[in-house]
Amino acid sequence: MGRPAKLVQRQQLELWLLYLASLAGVLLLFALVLRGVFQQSQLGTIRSALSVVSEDLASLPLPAPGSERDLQESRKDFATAHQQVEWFVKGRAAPVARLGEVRTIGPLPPLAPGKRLIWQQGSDWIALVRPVDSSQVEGHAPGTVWLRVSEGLENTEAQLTQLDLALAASVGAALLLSVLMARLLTQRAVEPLQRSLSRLRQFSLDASHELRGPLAALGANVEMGLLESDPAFGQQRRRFEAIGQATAQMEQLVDDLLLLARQDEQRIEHAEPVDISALLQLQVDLNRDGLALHQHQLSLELEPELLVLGQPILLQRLFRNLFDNAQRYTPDQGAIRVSAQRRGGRVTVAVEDSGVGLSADQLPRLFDRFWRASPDRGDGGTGLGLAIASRICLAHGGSIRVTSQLGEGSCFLVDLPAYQAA
Amino acid sequence: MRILLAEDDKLLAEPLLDYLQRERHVVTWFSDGALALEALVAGGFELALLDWMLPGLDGAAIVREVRRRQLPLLVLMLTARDALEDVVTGLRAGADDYLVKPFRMMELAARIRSLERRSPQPYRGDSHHWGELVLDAEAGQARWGLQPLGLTSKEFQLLEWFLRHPGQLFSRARLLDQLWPLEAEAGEETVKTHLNNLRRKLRLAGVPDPIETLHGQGYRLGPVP
Repeated sequence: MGRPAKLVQRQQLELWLLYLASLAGVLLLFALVLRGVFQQSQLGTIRSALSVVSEDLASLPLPAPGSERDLQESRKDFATAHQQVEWFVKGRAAPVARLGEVRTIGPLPPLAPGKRLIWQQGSDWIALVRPVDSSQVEGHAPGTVWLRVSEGLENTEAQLTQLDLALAASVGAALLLSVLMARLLTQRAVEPLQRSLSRLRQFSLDASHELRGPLAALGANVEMGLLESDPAFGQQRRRFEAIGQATAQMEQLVDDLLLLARQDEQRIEHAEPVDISALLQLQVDLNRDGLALHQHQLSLELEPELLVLGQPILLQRLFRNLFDNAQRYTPDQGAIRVSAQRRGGRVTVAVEDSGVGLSADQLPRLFDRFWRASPDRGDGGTGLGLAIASRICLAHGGSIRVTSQLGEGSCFLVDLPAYQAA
Repeated sequence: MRILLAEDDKLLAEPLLDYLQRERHVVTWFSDGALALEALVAGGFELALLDWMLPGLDGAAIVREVRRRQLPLLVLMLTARDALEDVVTGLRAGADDYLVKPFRMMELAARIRSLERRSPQPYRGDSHHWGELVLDAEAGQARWGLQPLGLTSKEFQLLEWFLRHPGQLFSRARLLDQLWPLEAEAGEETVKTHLNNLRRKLRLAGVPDPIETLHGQGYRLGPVP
């Protein structure tokens, strides 16, 4: 099928990037949700543990100073679980008794009279405050003793970190694998487009070749008709000549179609350095008769030796088409200006005319095939001239733009990469 | 030259035939590839104009067979396909030159002329001389000194043939084979008639008869008087 056209390649790249971006987004979202759920689940577990422990302890009497060690022994799991228990008495900021892993977590929160359970959370700990049963309190007024059970979140943090690493690794691996998969997928996706373009191109080629057969027969018969016709029979000769002209137009059209169909591949074969200024000068010289006929005023501003890497025949065709266009749409005694210069690494050629110009809504379709400014076909063009010019520009790595004012004229700007002699 | 035209498009073939005959070639037309090859193998042709797409056997196959048999034949292929690969294929198969349709007749004539120069047969040359008799092969004009001679196409061909092969003896049958196309309804009597017409015209113009008759054997170009 040949190398896919640039259009198809671009499409494939866009699809590929879009696919990867959306996949990355989805995976990231998934990872975040998973992490969040895990974190909440861990916290939930800790909270219920604290709840149970605090309930348990709240029914115990306040440990007397000194008896902490006994209690500590019987509650060894406090330290291993990063848990701490503190008893507070109203009026005293510091805890009166403590159990478990020592951790300073600040004062009690403000205690509202109605509330029984209060949760506190710090950057790496969580705590539950509850009042001790009044029945267990000796020497203290009811409602003045609280206990706070707290737990460090180091374990959870560690687990989260592990989860983060695992997620990062798997998301990374998934994306890496997807890069390859996506390439295959997008290639499949653009295949119909590629096939369609190929078919279109092949049709264009085939049709043009088929048309050449009848054109050959037409041309041969016209030539012989003219050769054999009686010179005295002027009218008949004119008819043959007219048929000959129409046939020549059709031949040109077929050649143009073939050129366009081939250029769809957007490849230049046998590129060589081409002197653009010389080419333009040649084009002008070839059109001298036409210029004289319509009394067009021509001005040329060509920088000498502007070199471009490309195919001379195609570049000649490009400028011929632009020049023909300018001549065709400029009224008699109008002005045409051709300028060419080098700016940085680019060669720019401008073909300006003082012709009928184009309106703003006509401009976007200008380089379409068979588009014409006026529906009248008498102007002798094939309607493919600008489409071909545009294609040739693109194939040479350049671009073509047009600016125009209705009634005043148009300016076609060709921009091509300059040739750097190595 | 004796040319075989293999072209299946009748609309193209007819004007081509007329044109080539005007150019004083002897042309035979085939519209089927297999039949064309048979005729080429049978011999008698110097140039084959082959359309690339033919019913029966296509142009490429014909050329390959012709080359395989090492027939002394010039081949000009006529093709509607101008893609470089197709042309290369054609030339590789053994064609000597190619023309892309549609083409101008003048282009065809020019190509044939340039191939003639490569022909294994003696080149027609641009002009032949015999005493004061001058034959301009390219323009198809004959004159004695400065006096133009109004010869028909066939008369010109006959005279030209003799001038190209001075001293060589040709029977009527041989002349018929050489200067008349295969399917032409012509016989040895036709040859005799045309020769007589030619000689009468020359005599009326005051030209000494260049052609010698050897009864029972044939004709040849005589020495310059």
